[in-house]
Amino acid sequence: MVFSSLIYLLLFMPIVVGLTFVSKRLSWKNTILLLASIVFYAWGEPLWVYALIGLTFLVWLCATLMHRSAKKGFRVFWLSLAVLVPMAVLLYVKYAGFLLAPVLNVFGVSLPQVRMPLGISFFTFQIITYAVDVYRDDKLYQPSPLKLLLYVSCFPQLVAGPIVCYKDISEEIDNRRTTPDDFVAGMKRFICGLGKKVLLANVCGQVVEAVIANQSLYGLSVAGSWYMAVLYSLQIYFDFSGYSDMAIGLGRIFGFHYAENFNYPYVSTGISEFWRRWHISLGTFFREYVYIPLGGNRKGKLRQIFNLLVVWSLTGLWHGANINFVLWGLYYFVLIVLERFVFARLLKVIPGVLKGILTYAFVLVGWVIFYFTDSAQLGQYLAALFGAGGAVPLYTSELWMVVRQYSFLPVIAMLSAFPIKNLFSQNLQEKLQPLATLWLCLVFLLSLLMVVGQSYNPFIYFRF
Amino acid sequence: MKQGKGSYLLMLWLLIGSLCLGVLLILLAPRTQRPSLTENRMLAGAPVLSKESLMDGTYFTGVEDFLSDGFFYRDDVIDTADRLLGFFDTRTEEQRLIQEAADTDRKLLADAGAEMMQLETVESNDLTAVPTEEPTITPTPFITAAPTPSPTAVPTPTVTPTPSPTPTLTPTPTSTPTATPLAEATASLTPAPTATPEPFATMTPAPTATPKAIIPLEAGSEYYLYLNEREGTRLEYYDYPAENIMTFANSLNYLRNMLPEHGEIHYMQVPVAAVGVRLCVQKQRFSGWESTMEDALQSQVVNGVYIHNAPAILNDHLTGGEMDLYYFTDHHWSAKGAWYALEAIMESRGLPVVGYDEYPYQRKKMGENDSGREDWIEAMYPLTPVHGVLIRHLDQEKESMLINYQARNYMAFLNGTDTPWRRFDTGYGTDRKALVICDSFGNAFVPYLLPYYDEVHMTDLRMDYFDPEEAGGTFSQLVQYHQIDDIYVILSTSNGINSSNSLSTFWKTITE
Repeated sequence: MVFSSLIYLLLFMPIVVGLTFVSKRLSWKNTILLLASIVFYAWGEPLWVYALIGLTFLVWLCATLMHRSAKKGFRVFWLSLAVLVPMAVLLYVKYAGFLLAPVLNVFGVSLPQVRMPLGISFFTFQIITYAVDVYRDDKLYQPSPLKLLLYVSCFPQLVAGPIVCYKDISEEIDNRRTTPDDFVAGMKRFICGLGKKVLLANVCGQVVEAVIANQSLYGLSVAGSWYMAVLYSLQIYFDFSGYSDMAIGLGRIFGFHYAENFNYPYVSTGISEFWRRWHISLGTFFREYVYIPLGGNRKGKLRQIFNLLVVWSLTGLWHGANINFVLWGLYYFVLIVLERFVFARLLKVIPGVLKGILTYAFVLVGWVIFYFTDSAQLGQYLAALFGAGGAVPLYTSELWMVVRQYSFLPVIAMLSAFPIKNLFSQNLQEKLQPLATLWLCLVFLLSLLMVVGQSYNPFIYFRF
Repeated sequence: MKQGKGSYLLMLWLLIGSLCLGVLLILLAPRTQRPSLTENRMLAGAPVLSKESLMDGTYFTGVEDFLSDGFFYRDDVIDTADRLLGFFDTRTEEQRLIQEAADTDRKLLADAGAEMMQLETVESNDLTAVPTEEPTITPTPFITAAPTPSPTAVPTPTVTPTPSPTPTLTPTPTSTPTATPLAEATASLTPAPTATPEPFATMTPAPTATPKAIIPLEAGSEYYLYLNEREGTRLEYYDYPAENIMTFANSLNYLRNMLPEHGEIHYMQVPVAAVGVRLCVQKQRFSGWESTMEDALQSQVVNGVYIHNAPAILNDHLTGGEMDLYYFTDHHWSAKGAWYALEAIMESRGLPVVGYDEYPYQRKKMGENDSGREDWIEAMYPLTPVHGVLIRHLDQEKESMLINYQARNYMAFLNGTDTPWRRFDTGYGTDRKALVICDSFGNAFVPYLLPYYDEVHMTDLRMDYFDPEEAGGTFSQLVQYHQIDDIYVILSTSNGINSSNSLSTFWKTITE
């Protein structure tokens, strides 16, 4: 099920929120939330829901045995099993085709086609964080498998994150309160995310799909390539941050306090800073569960560079089983190494605004690599971006028509990607609260209006 | 409360309101599939709950489509959403029209491509399930069976109308359909309906059809709808590969064989508004349009099949300043555009034509585009009492409107498309019956066709529109059962020769 669908907005959400609010006891709330989460996932993945439940119980079993084992060797064994089995499933459904198919094709063997289930990358990582957290701190052990299943399958963050570490949420599973304030704040956050997704991301996406998918029609030009890259950067930002807002808002309604996943990434003045602001939960996961265990920056510069290489290769691969995602990860590895070890001094003297523009330009190139899964198209587009090849015009009249068609909509979207509300004092923000609430109601109605006729409605991060 | 009691109540009511809307939608949304003129597709009905649909997930997507397609005042909601987006639009009218035309073409091509792929997949899956000697259902083009002359060698066909009884335009108070039992009708069907396609050269012609020498088109050659530019060049707007033309000719020839000897097939493919209005709006650039596809198609069909060139028929009117042959806020032609088409067809048959202005009309403003150009619906009043019925399962009849005088859009004509089969008892005594196979472009055409026939039947053979089970028989059985004399095929370019509807679905349906 998708948050921005009528079935969710008009039936699923009101019913589940209503039922949890009329339930007095936490155990009832948890039961309702668990059942709702299973229905939510089964709605899109009627078969894979069994895999989700099975993997969770397997990891719970491993954690239980780990919890009961005093010897480190046993604990390591059960941890390995709890990590490797979900990883093996993830590797098979997501990467087997990419990694093994070229080799198997040589021998005339083909792998059976398995459709990748929604959100498998997210829930696999959550299961792993539980196992690792219990290994590190035995007090985090969850004796109830159903509560663990609630943590893994909790529908607000099940299919597109944010990746919630078990240690951050374990307390709230057993002990949380839902207040009217949480309800209002959660609803507002949810509507804010819905508006980002439906009113901004989808519209930007329509332009990007229409123009990039029809290069022969509109023609590639230097200005056009940059314009489309900017629109795609806005689409992916509002799409994913919109989903995160909805997830965080829903969590708040049910009494969970998820960590922020985005913090205005396009205001960053460096690549490292960008990644501290973009998909924060993924960065946190890789830092805590891969980079630091590998030694982080404690074992010398060369080892640190190696660790960064591992982390960024995995980051790229996590986003998809395709060579362009690997390239995209390596692209950021190179940029971060250059930023930290080569241009660190130079970057200190460059004005912040210039650094911000440069960072955004590099991010745009990154999104182009991210977008094109076809290497020939990617090469063609990158050439157009930099006017290489000689035959690429600076701009085309067809593009000018597209620009005029949406005129200042991208400008509004761009402004929305900046922390404009911080320009107003806290006092003024509080005074404007009632107006903001009315505005959000309007956003909700407008989003509903758009959802009815919007055939272009995918969440980009679902495929990861 | 930090957030304020007002905010709390507002959010609470928003949630309650959403739930009420959702429940009402579940209860009141139409449960059957129905066509949408504005979106040119079938809107989803309530999905069927089964173990299979639950396991493969189609039930869930079906529910989402059901809610979305059944949303209250859906067309108005979508229109409002479009208008909201239009608020940002700063293009000139000319720029908008040009881009819309290009976008329409692109979308149609993409849709057709996707449908073709879908069909091919289905067909190839079907093929794996049957013995290998079972033939495919794709019509074989003539090209494989004949020598290949150059395109210049293709003679321009002379369209000679077959003499047909001149209808007496005398209204009769009632008409009595003379239906024969289905079994009897189907028993006399020649050739027997078969799903086995054959190249025309090897297909056994019906004894009634007059053979004609077919000169194949050259494989790989292309035919075009051109927009003529004033500077002397021609813009190739649509291209029609020879293979597509030959494939479609096969279908028309097959159709001809279903009719009695005096029967005729008339085919017209009408460009959509996005192209037509360019001739009115971009007068400085374009001097007219012309299409070479019709002549090529005419050369491939047997006697009794007549291809009419809509661009040629409409050209002088469009370039002569008649702005009301197409709508500016809709992709259809207007009643007047349809009437011009009918006039040309009937004149080619040597029949008298009731003038456009001889009908009384109700005029209603349909809307206006962002530049303030107004569209008007001209809904005619028929000259005789017309009785229309929607027919399901051969004998279940339901009233069906010829004109919906309440509608303020293209739905006025025939109250939109309805499936599977419609019949209009015209009140004229001509002793002849027609069938119109069409997409929505036929809806504006049919009212003007009434004076020539006792009964005018209608069906839509696009994908998912015609269900033999619902209709009570296969297409060919129904043609025989209703004793159809002439068939008119009126399609827009969206569903015409290059679309999967014409290339594959059409053939599949008529040969079932």
